[in-house]
Amino acid sequence: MNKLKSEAIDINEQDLVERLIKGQQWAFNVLVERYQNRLLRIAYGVTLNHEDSIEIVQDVFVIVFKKIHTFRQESSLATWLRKITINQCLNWKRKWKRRFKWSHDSLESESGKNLLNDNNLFKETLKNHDPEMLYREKQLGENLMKAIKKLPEKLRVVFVLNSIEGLSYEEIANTLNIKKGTVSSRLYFARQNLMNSLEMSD
Amino acid sequence: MKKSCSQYTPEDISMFVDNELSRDKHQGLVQHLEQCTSCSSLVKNYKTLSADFKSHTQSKISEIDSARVKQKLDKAIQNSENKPLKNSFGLFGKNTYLKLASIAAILMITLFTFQNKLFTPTGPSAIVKYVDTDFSSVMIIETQKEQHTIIWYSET
Repeated sequence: MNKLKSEAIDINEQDLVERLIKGQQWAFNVLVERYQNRLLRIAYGVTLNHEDSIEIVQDVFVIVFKKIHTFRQESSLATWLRKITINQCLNWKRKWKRRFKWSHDSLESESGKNLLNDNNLFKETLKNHDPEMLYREKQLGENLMKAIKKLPEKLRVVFVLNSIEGLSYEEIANTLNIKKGTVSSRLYFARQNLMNSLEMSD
Repeated sequence: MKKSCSQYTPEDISMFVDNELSRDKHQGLVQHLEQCTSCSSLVKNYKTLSADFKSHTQSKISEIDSARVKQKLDKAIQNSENKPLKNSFGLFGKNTYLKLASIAAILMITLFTFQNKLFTPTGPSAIVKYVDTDFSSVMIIETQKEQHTIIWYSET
């Protein structure tokens, strides 16, 4: 594992892509190691669900595995992966909506369910913090996440790319194939929307 | 929400936070922030929102056991190699449209072949054929004079 990590830092992108096209398993491991956290953050930002984001990122890597030979190195690998991830997230939601057309998406039950699921999925975390601080942080975080969950998908995706990936308006516009002005207004609406939900004063 | 500043719109502030304003406007706003509490608190709030969202997502993601993702991924890749393209064949898959399209095509062909026998000017009604299923309806309509065929399709 350590060996993999040190080599993962060394290998440059072009070399990695060439090895991926040749179908080298080792290169694929490096790819996963290098990008999984980044993609997970995006997927989690859009879906706000652990299980879903794991599945989505998995799908993204499977797609990359199959389609790497179609990757023309006009953009960076990260940009390409990001685009696939966003598309997968949006498709995922569409699929989900269609499958459960009649079921009601309740915020409360969803977060409750997540808590149950999460226990066996994830390592124990944040052992060494003051419990009271931790509780307050958790509350704040949960409220924010609830507010984010209420955001329309279009606004949320833009907000995720801006806040989590730190992309410029131009980069966001390219990723989503929308205009730069649209990015700006969606971001503003997202922020305004969140502030209203959280009842923050101006 | 309290009164907002008349000089800068909240969208300006939003762009400022992202460093997307023109240099002049950016400089102007930096100076303005020193005296305008409404704008500076908005800047602070916008920044907090993004920072909190980022750190919360980060902490959520750091809980994920990456070995598990890898494990699941290996399985998924094995599966995808064993049985490629085994999806979207369900009732709600993409090919529902394909099915409907082929039904429409077959109808068109039959209609054109038997057009003269079946639809010589018998009456004023323009509806030639009507198919109604649980998922969709297809109606084939023909205009009287020109005998143009119109296919009307709707998902129920």
